[in-house]
Amino acid sequence: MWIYEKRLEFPVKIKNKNARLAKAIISQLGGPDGELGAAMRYFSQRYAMPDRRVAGLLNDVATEELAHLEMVGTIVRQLTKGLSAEELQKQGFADYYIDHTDGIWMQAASGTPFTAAYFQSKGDPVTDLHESMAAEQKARTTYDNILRLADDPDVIAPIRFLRQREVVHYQRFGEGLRLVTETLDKRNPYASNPAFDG
Amino acid sequence: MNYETDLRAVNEWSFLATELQLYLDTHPDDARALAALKNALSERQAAVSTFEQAHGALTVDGLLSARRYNWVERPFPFE
Repeated sequence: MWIYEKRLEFPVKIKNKNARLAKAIISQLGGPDGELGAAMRYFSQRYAMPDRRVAGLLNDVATEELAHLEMVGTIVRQLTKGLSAEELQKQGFADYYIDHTDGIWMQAASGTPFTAAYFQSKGDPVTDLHESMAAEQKARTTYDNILRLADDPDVIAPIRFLRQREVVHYQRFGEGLRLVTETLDKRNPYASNPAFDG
Repeated sequence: MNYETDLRAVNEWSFLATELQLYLDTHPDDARALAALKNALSERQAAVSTFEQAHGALTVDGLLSARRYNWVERPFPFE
C-alpha cells in the first residue's frame, strides 16, 4: 500500500500564469506518454514479473511516477489558478475551461481523456520491459517538446528534473531486461515466457 | 527553523535514498550501495524529525508528536 508524504519530490514554485503552456503540459498528466500512464503501467506489470528484483524495480519506479504526477498537476494548477474566464479564453484554454473550469483533469493536450489503452501489461517479462523502456523514452521526448515551448525558469526547473528521471528510469529498466534475459536460455530468450510457462 | 531550508534537507536526503533504492532493486548484493542507503535514510530521518517539529507532520506518523491535527493546517504541496 502507499503512504503519502506531504511534500513534492522536487519543488514547484511558478510565479507567472500561462494557461497556453498549461494546456500543453497537461499531456504529461493524462496523455499517452504521461506520468499517470507510467505509474499504471509499472504497477500493472509488477504482478506477473517473475524476477523479484525487477518486480521491486517496477513497484518503486511506479511509486516515483505518482510523485511526478503530483508535480505535473501542481505545475498545471499554478499556471492557471486565478485567471479569469476571459484570460483563459485569450490564452486558448476555453475548451478545457468549459468542461473543467480551473480544475485538474487527466487528459492529453488534445483533450483526449486518459485511458488504459495508453499502456500495455503483457504478462511476459521481456515484452513488458521493452514496453516500459519505450515508455520512458516517449516521456523523455515529451519533456523535450515541453522545454522547447517554455521560457519561464520556474517551469523549466521542475520539467528538467522530470526529464532527467525518465532517462534514469530507462537505464534501470535496461538493467532489469539484462537480468531477465540472463536467467532465460541465452541461445533463445523467446523460447518461453517465464511468467506463464515457468 | 527555516521552512525552505528544513524542507530542502528532507528533499535532498530523500532523493538520494530513492536513487539508491532503485539501484539496489537490481543490485541487491551491492554492500556499498546498501551502506550508502542506510546513511541516507538515517540523515533523512533526522531531517524529517527537524522539519516536523517546526512545521508539522510530513506523514501520518508525524502526528504522534502533534498537539493539533496539523495535517490540514498548512498548504498541501500542490498549492
